[in-house]
Amino acid sequence: MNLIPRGCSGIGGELASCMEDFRNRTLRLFASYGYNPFNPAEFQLLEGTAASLALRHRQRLIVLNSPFGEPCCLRADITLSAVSYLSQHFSPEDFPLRLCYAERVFAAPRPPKENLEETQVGVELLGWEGAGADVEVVALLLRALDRLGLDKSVVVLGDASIVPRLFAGVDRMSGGLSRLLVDQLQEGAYYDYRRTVDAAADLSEGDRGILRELPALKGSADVLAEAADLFGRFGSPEAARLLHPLGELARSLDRLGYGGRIRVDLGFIRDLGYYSGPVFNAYASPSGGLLGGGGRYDRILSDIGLSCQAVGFGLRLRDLALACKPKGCATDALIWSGALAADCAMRCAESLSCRGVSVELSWKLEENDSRALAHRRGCRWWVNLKDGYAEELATGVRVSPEEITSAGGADGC
Amino acid sequence: MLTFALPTGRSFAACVEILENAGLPANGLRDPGRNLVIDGGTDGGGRRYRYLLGKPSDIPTLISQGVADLALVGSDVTGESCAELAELLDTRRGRCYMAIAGPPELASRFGGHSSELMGLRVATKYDRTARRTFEAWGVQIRILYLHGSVELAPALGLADCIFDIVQTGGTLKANGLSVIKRAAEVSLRLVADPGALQLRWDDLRSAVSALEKNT
Repeated sequence: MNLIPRGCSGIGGELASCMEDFRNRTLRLFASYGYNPFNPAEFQLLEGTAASLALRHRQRLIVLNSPFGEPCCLRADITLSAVSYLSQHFSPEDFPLRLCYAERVFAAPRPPKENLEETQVGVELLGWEGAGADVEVVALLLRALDRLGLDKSVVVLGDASIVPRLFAGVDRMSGGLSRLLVDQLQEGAYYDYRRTVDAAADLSEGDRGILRELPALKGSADVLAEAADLFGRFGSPEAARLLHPLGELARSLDRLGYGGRIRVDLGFIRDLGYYSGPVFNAYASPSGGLLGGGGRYDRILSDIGLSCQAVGFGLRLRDLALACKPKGCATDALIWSGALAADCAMRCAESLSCRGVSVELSWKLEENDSRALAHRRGCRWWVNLKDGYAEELATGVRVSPEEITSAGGADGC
Repeated sequence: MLTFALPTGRSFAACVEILENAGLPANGLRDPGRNLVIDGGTDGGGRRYRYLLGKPSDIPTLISQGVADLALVGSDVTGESCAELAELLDTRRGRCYMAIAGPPELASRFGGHSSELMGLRVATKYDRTARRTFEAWGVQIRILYLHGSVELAPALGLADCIFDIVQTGGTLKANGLSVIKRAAEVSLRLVADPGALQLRWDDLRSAVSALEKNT
């Protein structure tokens, strides 16, 4: 009766308050950049979702039949919902579409994790041409992290298109070599990746050299220069052009003042299976704590006949809140009405609330019980309406209820 | 500081040897006593090495939870754990293999059509790997999960065969079993937390290169 399904969690207290605060602040920020709220359906059709995701994510879908008999899964990916919304409701003349959301996604966990669900907050920018969209979205991600106080957070940039585009020609001969290499990089199987590169008969020595060293190019944005050298050294100066989108993105972010918080990883290919350009991960600090990430996913749009760009990101709200170490969320004042009529307490509550003071009403009969509750709640003030005073619990100072102020500076009426 | 997770048990000595051969600071690892956290000393660049000693099956958790940056662990363990790990190197040490073993008369079923194997009762402590292996052959099996002494299961009629690690084959022979099919090679691998790779590659690089050169 009092248990919930394994893998689920009910979140309350400070963490829930912090998550709600972050949700509101990030959505307000996104709205101020023209992103409109998006409430995707909780179910997704299984066929389209499974077709767009990499195998390891397909296997984690939580599948069910809708009451109408349609094979569905619980929403596993908000990007796919956003693309579906775009294609159903907008013509190309209406592009671009800017969406923001704070919604749950569901998937079977990978051990040792156990959670079946998580709330993500993020944006999707669909149908915009040019590199500006990538800069806009990554800068917005960093701005959101700043807004939440995570000013030591780090964003790691990669590009999912480099390996496939480098070997588009080779692929015809070697039957999907680049697909295999991408899969191995996605799974973090660096050793197998290197073995595949060494064993591939169709590769020129130059291509082999580039492929061997590419995943080891990680660090500050300087590795892009190292990569250009590498491409030049192995006789592929034209291939160096593939680094331009990432280089432009890194330079723009540097000019925006984020240079110190940007890392580059040329072996990084986000593993959902649909990314097709610059990709990025966001960490809470230089020592770790993955918060989420995103990237370019033009291919999903091209799969439904739209030839334009799309880019977005999602951050896990719970991890964001934990990274910020939630502070106390106690209400400012507990109001005790004593034997007075309830409407007196309600009027006082409304008056304080309109001045930005957060309140809770106490209907206890005994004064001491109410005061003890205020202590347990961590309230700053205990208001005794019966005798007409407010007491600051830490100091014992008494003032009139009209003099109470909010510690948090909440919005007034 | 660089934190390395190492498995206790029979592969521990090989891990220490690998680290020493690579010239990484490994003070105190030869005789750790009951200590589970060992200060290995510093390398030439002044970087301190700390070692966490854990049960082999716990090593992937130490890595995927970000407690350790790097680890040496058997590929049987990483395959079974499903944790998100980056596998950087095959050290070629601690080599053995995963195999299906059973009474010799079972071999003929493996030589025939896959339908003869449907519903096979397999005793193992590597249930995920066993299921994955048979499914790749198009065969659905029934797993009997045992924590150890899996060789007992066929003799007691609990299972038709076992799916386990084989080193010399001595235990199999002693229990009237023989290897029917090899499934995968196993060796000690160098693994890392994918997040640590992205954020701290400059710190990890020298250790990874030293291990790569000396294996």
